[in-house]
Amino acid sequence: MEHIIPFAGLVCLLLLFTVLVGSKFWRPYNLRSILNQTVLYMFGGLGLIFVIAQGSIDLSQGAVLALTATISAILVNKYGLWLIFPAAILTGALFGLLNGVIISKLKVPSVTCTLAFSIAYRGLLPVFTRGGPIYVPFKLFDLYNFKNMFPVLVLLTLIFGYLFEYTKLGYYTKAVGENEIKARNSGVPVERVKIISYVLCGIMAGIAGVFTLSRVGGVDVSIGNFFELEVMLAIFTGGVPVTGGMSTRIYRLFVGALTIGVLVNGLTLYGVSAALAEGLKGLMLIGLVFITARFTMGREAAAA
Amino acid sequence: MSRENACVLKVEGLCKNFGPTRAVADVSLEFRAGEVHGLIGENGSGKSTLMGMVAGIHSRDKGRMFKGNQLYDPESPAHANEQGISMVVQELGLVDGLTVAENIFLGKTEQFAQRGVINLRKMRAAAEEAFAAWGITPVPLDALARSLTVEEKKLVELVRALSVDPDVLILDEITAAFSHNNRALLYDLLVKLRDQGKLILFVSHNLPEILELCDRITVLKDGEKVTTIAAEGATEDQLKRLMVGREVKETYFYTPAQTTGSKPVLTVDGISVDGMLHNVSFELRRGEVLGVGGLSDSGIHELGRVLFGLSKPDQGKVILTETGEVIDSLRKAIDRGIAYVPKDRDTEALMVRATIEDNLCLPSTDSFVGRLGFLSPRKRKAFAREQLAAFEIKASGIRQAVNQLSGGNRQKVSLASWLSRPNRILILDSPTRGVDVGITANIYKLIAEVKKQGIGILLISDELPELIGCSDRILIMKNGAVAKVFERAEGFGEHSIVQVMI
Repeated sequence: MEHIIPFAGLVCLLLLFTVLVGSKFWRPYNLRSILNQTVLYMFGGLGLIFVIAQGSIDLSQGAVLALTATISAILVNKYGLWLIFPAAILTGALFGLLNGVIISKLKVPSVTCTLAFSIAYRGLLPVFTRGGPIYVPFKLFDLYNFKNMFPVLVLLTLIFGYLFEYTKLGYYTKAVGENEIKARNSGVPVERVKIISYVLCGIMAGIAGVFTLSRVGGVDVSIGNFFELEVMLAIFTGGVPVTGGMSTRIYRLFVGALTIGVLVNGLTLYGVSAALAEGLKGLMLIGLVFITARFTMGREAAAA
Repeated sequence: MSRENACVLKVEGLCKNFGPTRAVADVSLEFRAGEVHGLIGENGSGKSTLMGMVAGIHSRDKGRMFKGNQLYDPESPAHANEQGISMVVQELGLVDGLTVAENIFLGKTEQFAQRGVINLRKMRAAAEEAFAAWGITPVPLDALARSLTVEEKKLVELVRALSVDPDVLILDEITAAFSHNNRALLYDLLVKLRDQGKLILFVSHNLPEILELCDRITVLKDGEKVTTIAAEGATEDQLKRLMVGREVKETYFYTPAQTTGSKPVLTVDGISVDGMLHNVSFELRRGEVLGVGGLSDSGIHELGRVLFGLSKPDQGKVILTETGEVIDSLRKAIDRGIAYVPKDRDTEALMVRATIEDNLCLPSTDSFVGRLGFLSPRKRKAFAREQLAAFEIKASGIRQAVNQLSGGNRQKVSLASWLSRPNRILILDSPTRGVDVGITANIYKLIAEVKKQGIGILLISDELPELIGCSDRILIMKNGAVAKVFERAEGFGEHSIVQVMI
């Protein structure tokens, strides 16, 4: 029953704005702009959902995005545009690997480790940017439009969705989130699974970084601020439990991201100020979690 | 044994529903001062819920309670404590991050306070005194609760319940976690309390214990009271019949092993783990049940972990006898067909919030992998359905969450997830702990079947009758070392085994 609540929330919002805003809301241009607003969080979420599913968290995804974008921008300016994706993916993967190794091998709690790195990376950022913004070639600006981004999103969704839903890696990741001891007892290589999750999370931070570069046109110290929080907001709004586990589904990321996108877009069209719309995003998550908890609580009490 | 004392506690028409589930339905009972009153029934019969209402943990939907002649209406466990009723619950009820002493007096710390500051030294001394006064095996008082074993935690909870000096003490399946020596201590303590005129409400699945200890026994079934009988003259079979509502015959399914010419499958060669195991050596043969018994600190549970590769031994080797291969990691143990069912079911053996399907499939994941690493949901479902039927797990379907099942059915899921694999060796740690008689019989039958397939079974258990009933040989451990191996041919005398254990 509680699985339907996030869908119901999205449908309600769509109905609400159809009534409030009318046909303006359903114009292709507007729908595309909703997707443009949310696609970055979908990219980030494709990686972060692995981490959330195994019951961990990555508070450094925004900082990793910033650092990979900066390093890629420097490399692209030096060696050429072709390097953009390889550079971003590779550096993202390396930062993810670092997170994963420290969390799984040294047993540092994921909140502590990624919070520390988030602060450290943000602190390092001015060293790379040398105070001023770094600009990227104009050609990169073309990347950030619907025509280019949509195929990339579909492709990555197919790859990550397959990994998450239909392979041993995804299954083991979710098992670790349910019960790490049981997973280990059942032969799950818990450490390896954790490391891979963080590497995937880092790779997606890198890819999201490339699109952020093309959207903004360069790097400054504020790039990727609050990125990981927006991604988590999307994942949790979609109904993924904070503790992860077997009920984590990749489609929930998209439901959540779209719900938030529709809410902000609809409110703005209706004439609500952007600041207020941002505030309502958070309230909506609390509301959804509350309703979901009501349903789950009723069921658990029945089982006791 | 039975004495006609005044009624100290009376419950009238108690009802409790959890959502659509009826937990307790119209139960009326009278309890006397100076009696040990046993409560028995299958998993899910309402024992714990009924006791929870008496102890102020659950609210009532209907009904009244009287303590002495007064209407008794507890709002919370603390409120019940004030009126002289305390309970040790079935689940673990300690705060992980607090010390033993702090846990004992949690919520009752004002007695050590001076101007709002708690005198920790005084509290510690009081805790020490409490352990000594009740004659309970001491637990390190400054240790954090999370570092304790399940048994130690239960001892702390017992002391906490006793520390309010209750007239009515409720113990919900406390002995399941206890080793032989602590059980003996507890029985003595309960008899002493009874003779002081206290009422003890004692919930247990262990029928010999119930018959031995209790004055009267109440049987519950499906939330209703079946009857209350005097323990004197009652028999185990009679109790089983009352609990299940039908005849339960033959609990143990012992079939002699083909030991003649049977080869060893596992050789344990001089295993030592610092402070826990000392130079343990033995062989496990094909198609035999090797029982492993001992007191709680004898290392029996650690032994299972070492054999499965979960703990690394400091010295010695675990060797697959046929190939001479050394088992030094968990992965190797699993790949070579060793299965391990741990004793802490909910924390180590199951993903309780996940579905039955996922719990059944996880250890066998490799067998569902197809091309491109595709993990077929169809194959998984079919496999889970097959196991659900084969092990007669009572559930609405494979999509049901495990935490909605009774303890016995949870244990079946845990067993099924391992027995459905091609095994060579099966290590069972306390497989019938907290499981009702019907399912216990089922599990013994399973063990007998597995044995017939020629699998070597290591049965670790705190229950001596269980070891005697199922094993071909019994290995008794003491202080981390092998004390003696008993052969079935020589006859298992319970008395002589206990002599070796202590």
